[in-house]
Amino acid sequence: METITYEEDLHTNPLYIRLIDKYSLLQEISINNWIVALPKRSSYTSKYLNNHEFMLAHILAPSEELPKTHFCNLIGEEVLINGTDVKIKSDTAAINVHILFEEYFYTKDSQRYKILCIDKPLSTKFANNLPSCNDTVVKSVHQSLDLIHNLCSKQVERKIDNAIKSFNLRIQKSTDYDSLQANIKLLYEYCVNITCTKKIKEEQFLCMNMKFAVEYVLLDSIYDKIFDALIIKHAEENEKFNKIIKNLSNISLKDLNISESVASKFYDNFNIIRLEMLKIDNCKTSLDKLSCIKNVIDTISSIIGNVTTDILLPIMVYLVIKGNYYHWIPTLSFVQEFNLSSVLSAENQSTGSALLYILTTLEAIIYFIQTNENICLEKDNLLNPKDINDVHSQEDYLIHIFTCIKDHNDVKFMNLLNMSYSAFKNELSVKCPSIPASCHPLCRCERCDKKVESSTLDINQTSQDKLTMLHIASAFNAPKILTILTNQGADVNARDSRGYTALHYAAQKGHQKVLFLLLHNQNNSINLRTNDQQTALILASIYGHEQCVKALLFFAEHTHTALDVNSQDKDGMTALHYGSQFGYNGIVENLLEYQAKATIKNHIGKIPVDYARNSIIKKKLEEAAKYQVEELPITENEFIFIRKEDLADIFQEVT
Amino acid sequence: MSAEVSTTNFTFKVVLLGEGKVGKTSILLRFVHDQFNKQHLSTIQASFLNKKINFEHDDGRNCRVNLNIWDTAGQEMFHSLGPIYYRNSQGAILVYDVSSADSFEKIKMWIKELKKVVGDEIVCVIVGNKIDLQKEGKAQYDPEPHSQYAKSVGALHFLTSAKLNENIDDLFLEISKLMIKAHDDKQQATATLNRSNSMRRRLRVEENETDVNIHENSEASNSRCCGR
Repeated sequence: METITYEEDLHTNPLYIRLIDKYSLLQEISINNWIVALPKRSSYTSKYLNNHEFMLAHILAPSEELPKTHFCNLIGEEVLINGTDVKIKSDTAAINVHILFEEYFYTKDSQRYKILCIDKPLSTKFANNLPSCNDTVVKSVHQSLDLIHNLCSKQVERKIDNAIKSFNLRIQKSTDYDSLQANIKLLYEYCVNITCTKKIKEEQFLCMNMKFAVEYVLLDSIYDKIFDALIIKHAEENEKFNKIIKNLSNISLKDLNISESVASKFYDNFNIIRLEMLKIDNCKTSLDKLSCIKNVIDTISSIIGNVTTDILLPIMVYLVIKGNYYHWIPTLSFVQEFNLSSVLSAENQSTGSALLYILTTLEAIIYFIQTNENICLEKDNLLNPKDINDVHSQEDYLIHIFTCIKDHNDVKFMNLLNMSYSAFKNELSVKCPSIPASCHPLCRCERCDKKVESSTLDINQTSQDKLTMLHIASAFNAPKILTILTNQGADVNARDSRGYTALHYAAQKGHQKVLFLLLHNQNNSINLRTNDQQTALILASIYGHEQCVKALLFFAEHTHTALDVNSQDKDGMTALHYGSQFGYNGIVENLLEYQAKATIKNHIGKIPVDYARNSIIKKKLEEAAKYQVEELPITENEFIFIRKEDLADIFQEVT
Repeated sequence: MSAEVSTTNFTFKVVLLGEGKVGKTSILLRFVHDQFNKQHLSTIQASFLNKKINFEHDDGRNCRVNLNIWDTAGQEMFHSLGPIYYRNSQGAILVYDVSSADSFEKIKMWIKELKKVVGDEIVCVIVGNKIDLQKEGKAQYDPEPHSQYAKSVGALHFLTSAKLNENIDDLFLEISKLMIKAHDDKQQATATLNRSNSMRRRLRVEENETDVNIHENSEASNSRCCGR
């Protein structure tokens, strides 16, 4: 489907002018619900205008049985309309024409009739071999080159080539974004000037098409430079955005108020839609990029039916978060700033209006994500909070304690910790039949002792998911409670069902203080891996928590702990791979300074620099790789130190 | 009728506001229902729609209006995105369900917000949809207070039925006419502003030239202008 279609002002179409001269005919048209099929201006010559039959051939009367698809023109030929295709049959021949657009006309007495603009005359009698005209917009570099080749002289083609070459030479010297942008605009204007001759300018649509062609040709050869410049310009904002989407990665459509039936259809086809979206990276013009999103929307609606904004927006938010594309900010900026043929500008709303809506949607999605970092923070997959009244078993009791930890309710936590489940139940004055009372309150006989023991809460007791209190204290950033737990001998290396230790949670969620407390526990092992073979360092790198990456590196160095900075997860990815992929400049820098290897291949044979799009990060990684291959001694680190005093402060605060 | 009828072209952006389930989408789809095939429309499913209509304006001009109708998100969660959607729009259609008092309360909120964000230049039309429910006796509805409210905020009030295709065409014709009027008024305002600016400039030049003129002009401006 086209996003930009042929346009002309029907009021200036000679056949239309003839038609409105015959007022009585117009009335008849509206009364009978006839349709006028108007060939586009350039498709017929004026010699037909005085031919009455020519006019009648273009007025269609719907059939009685199938009024939507079967018609008959006023000279008796049969016309079939199917989508945008119009077929006309007579005894002698059949021809096909296309509908370009349609328009409604209201007469003074509020009667209405419809005009279809078609690409050539609709009658076998008048069908002559007119040259096929361009009424579709160019959609690729090849089409664009063809258009320029067909309509411009060789000289013009050479001029464009030379202009691009000299432009490339010029921008190699300076990479300043503003001058780059200004230069591109100049280059574009120059090329449009030499291609859009007077003759082309006379035809509004052709002129627009030529502008698109120029845009395609130019951007095809300079897109990479522009996008690189945009990545650098928006590096910080993009890094922040990626961090947000990584940390929102456990979002579900339910969090965005999408009904279950719609959500399940969407989930089933998520990968198809996602792959459609990823094509955006290969689109080199802003029109192409927006058309790509349009295709995504069309795919979505082919799966879940009519898409209103209320459904579209949350689904697109979900796609952007979970789609594995990490250049949204430069992409948005590219679409806004490098729409050279300015089809998206407000004055040009008639042609690019649908695309403008898509651009606005994209803007809205990004703004929404930026301002709703915490949208699924309330809900957490870890924990289904339990209120006091929901406690019916030992397991519930543990979850209830978890809830207190999550809420940072230290006092209540202490109370509960020192209380057994039965005591808790007694306090609620609910008799708990499963635990028989002791012989007498202070009885220490063997039977009673056993009972008390079994009913007191073990500090390392686990929930169904094998979560301990320590996990929760770490995941929900409760340093005070965490200290209490470690002091009472909680196992710092306990793993939950996904193989996470408390340290993993601290690193993943970015809680630096908790992370330090855990690291300083002598029993802690820094290199433990989750079920996905990810270390705390990798997790901190994925989720963009620079402070935690620094903390891990710094701690390891200062305590001479052997931290494995090069460990690979189940896909063979290292912390450096992730830092590079998500454009986390600071993390990459820190990892490199701590001798992370830039030459490790993941399971598909890629080294970290293969994931880098930001040329600053790329350069750092390339240099590091070079050094590491040559095995030159690496210079002494100069680090951001976390001073001992600060560390002491942290401890004082929590103990 | 003369062959050389000139037409004036307009392109308007209209946002569609309303709570979920008031029939926003039905109105939108009804308006384009007669179209042959969605394929050749520049639509984005039910969220964006474009329709070109031609009519003779009350002042005799032939007008060609390119209507771009934008659906917006009605969910509370996306409320903050409103301004991104309705900036640069010339019209707003605010839809409520005649059988739901709550849905009308939402309209009041949106009107306030629109006036705040876009200003008075935007043409607002309040639409009570599902009027068929009342005809079928399924809902009791008195349009009077709502019409009163619409009047008080300078908006038109329409009662439609997307189901029975009542008043839908009129709704879009009417809002088009209002937007044309707003457009004309705005142009006129800028034209007069420019004229008065150029007058003022000329005045200043004259002031510098001769003493006599200073006297005459300052007297004239005293009588007219409030400031000096």
